[in-house]
Amino acid sequence: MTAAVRALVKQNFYQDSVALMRLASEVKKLPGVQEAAAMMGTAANKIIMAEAGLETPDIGSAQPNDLVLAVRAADAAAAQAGLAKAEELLAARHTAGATAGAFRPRTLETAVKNLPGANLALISVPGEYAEAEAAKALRLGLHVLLFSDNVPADAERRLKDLAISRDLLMMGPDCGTALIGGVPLAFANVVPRGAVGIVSASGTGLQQVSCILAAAGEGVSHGIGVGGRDLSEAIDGRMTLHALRALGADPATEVLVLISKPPSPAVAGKVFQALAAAKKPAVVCFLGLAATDRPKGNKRLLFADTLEDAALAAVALRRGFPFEPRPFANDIEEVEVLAAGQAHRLRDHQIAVRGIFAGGTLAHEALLILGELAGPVASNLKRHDLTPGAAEGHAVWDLGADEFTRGRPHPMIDGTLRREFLKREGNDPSVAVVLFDVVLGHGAHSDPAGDILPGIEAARSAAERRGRRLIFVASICGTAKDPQGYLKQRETLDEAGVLLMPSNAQAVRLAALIATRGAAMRRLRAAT
Amino acid sequence: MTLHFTAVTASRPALHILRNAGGHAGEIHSAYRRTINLRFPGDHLVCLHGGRDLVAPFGIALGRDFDSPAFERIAPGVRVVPADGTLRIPEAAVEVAIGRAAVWEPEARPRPLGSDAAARHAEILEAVLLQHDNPDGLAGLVDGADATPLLRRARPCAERLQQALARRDISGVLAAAEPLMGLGPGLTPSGDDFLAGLMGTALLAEPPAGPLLRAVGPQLLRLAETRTTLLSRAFLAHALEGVLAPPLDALAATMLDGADRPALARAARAACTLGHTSGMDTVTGMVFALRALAQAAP
Repeated sequence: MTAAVRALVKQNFYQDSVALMRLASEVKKLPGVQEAAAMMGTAANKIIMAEAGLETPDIGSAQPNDLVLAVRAADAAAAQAGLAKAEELLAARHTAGATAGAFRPRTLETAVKNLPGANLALISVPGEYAEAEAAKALRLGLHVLLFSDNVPADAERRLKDLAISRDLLMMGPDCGTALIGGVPLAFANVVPRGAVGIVSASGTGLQQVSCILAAAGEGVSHGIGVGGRDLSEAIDGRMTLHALRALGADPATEVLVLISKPPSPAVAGKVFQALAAAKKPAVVCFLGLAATDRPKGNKRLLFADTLEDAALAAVALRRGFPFEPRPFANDIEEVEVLAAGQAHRLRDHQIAVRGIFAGGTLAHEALLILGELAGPVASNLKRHDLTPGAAEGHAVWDLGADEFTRGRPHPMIDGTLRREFLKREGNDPSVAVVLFDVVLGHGAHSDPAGDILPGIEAARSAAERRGRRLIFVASICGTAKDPQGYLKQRETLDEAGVLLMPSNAQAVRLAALIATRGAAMRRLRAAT
Repeated sequence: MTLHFTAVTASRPALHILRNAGGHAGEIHSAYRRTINLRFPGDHLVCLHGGRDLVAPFGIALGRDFDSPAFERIAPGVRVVPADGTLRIPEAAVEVAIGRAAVWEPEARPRPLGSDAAARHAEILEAVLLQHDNPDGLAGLVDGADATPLLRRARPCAERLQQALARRDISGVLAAAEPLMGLGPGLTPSGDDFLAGLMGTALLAEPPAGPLLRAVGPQLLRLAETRTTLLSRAFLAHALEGVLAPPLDALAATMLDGADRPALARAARAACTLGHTSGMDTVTGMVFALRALAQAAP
């Protein structure tokens, strides 16, 4: 049967190349579609399209400033469907969020009138408008989750004071995750409701803790994101303290978990007082907090070094068991054998671990653990101008950081940048282990494991062409009920030969054991 | 209510275009989430964008992102008025103050580059491009990769271009450049970025042949009128004046100043991060120009 070609020329229509390549690649996945292109209608591009069997009179008449969408498919219906999809994707980029036929309120007041009983507003507007919109929502009696960033500290203080005066939550700014009354907001996982209340200044921190709680059979009463800056001196822990008071008074919350980078000593003092006043058992995970900075004397307060320990300590407190942190879920000897078996496949000069992360807090946790077990680690978390390819030795990349997301989608949504990074590591003769995270849940890519698989394969092939084996270690931050399905994602990574660990912390430890040929084990044993 | 922005950095060429507009209104050429391209009489473009670092030689950086409700009203064709150190977009009630912006001047100055130095620089830039290993765009040209239709189409032209440049064969340069124009997806197709890198480097690094190469400029731009996008043509026009986008200009300056290998590699890595493939495609063009210079008869 002859293939059918359909094309559409949009005059003086512009899109950047990444958007066009992504669009063409989405259309190519449709059933029956053999080839798809989205390119400017230059003469040179018309030749490329003709060589790919994409030739119609419309394409022939396109001008350099016109956008050409073209699809070749097994039959006319499939070609037409492909073209319709291309148009839909293009339109979606222009009217992001628009839903034909659905009611789209233009103001918060109209939204509240049309949805009486609503008690929370999720606000994502540019930083300069954020304060006005969030203040409006608070005055309407709504809790606020403020996704926007670039909100000045003064504005954040004013908003949080306004919220506290009205006994409302002001989550954010720059808050990407919350679980309120069992409802996941923004980037969050599907976890059961339960007795653990979480206050978190970190999005993926909250995700990791809530997922490990779910895996252990516990649930979350509320997961309150407070924004990454709340525990700074400038904001003085306003919303953290308010959230702790709220969870302290919430009868459904039996155990508290607090997640953040270490706050300033002054703010930390207020937080510890608030935890004591809550009169509920609590776990504090201030990633990187020195043991000497931890107050003693509060028997209901446990400190956790990792997100996993925070979740498991909360489980222990809830069930009344003593909590003893363990580096691995399996026996340490078993893991040692696994690591030695993997290390045996490496060549002598393969000694580096490269962490390529989508989750910022998971990257931060990896940086801390790897530094402790394997020695100095380069990272864009330490130096924002660190350029890809410049890092030597161990390195951890947070690809969700601003320097990588300007002009690109976040790596939790689109794996393009991660694939590029993965492939690059395959060309570096010093790399032993590539470490990464796969974050599931609402808001994340529909198949994150499948999305980065070509990067894993490219890295592996590049290394094998040069006579090296590359080891991939990962963890999945997600639950069986997440839209992507934990088991399906795990199967994809298993089939790709990725060593999967039950948590980010364990994955980092395994990577360190392999790359250091077990030397990290001595440090691990000493620490435990 | 008018929304006010203050530009933090403005390129000298952008200010020159605004001054030459003499108060005549321009229009929005294209608008993205972080970039708005403005077209002024004579098809001169000015690129208004977020962030602090300029991304185009005709750029103005606002220091922060500007995706706001007001900017939803900014669409191709909307009027832009330059006046008294400001840019006004009346239909969107947006005003950008430019008067206090730091002015970016291109750093790279024409300076002859010997064939040994050209060969050495080409090798350093190649190594950086290979490390990036981006399958899209034209960086694969330096490694003999032919994995994509784009590379297969571009390779013979790029090689012919290198040979013609080495021979200083102007008609050969024109003939080989033409099929590269407009080659690739997006608003600045890879082939054009490659040409900008190649021509910019050749002009900056071989002053004795400068007049000869400059003679190609108007002819290349005439070809570009019908073969590529307006934005790409604007980049090419600046490259033909020896002015590249700031990170690429910094790379060219580092190279012509005879900096050591680590400094050059650092500058190349920074240049490669521009856009999805634009920086890498331009650096690839620079490699081909350097290879031509390395093999050119003295």
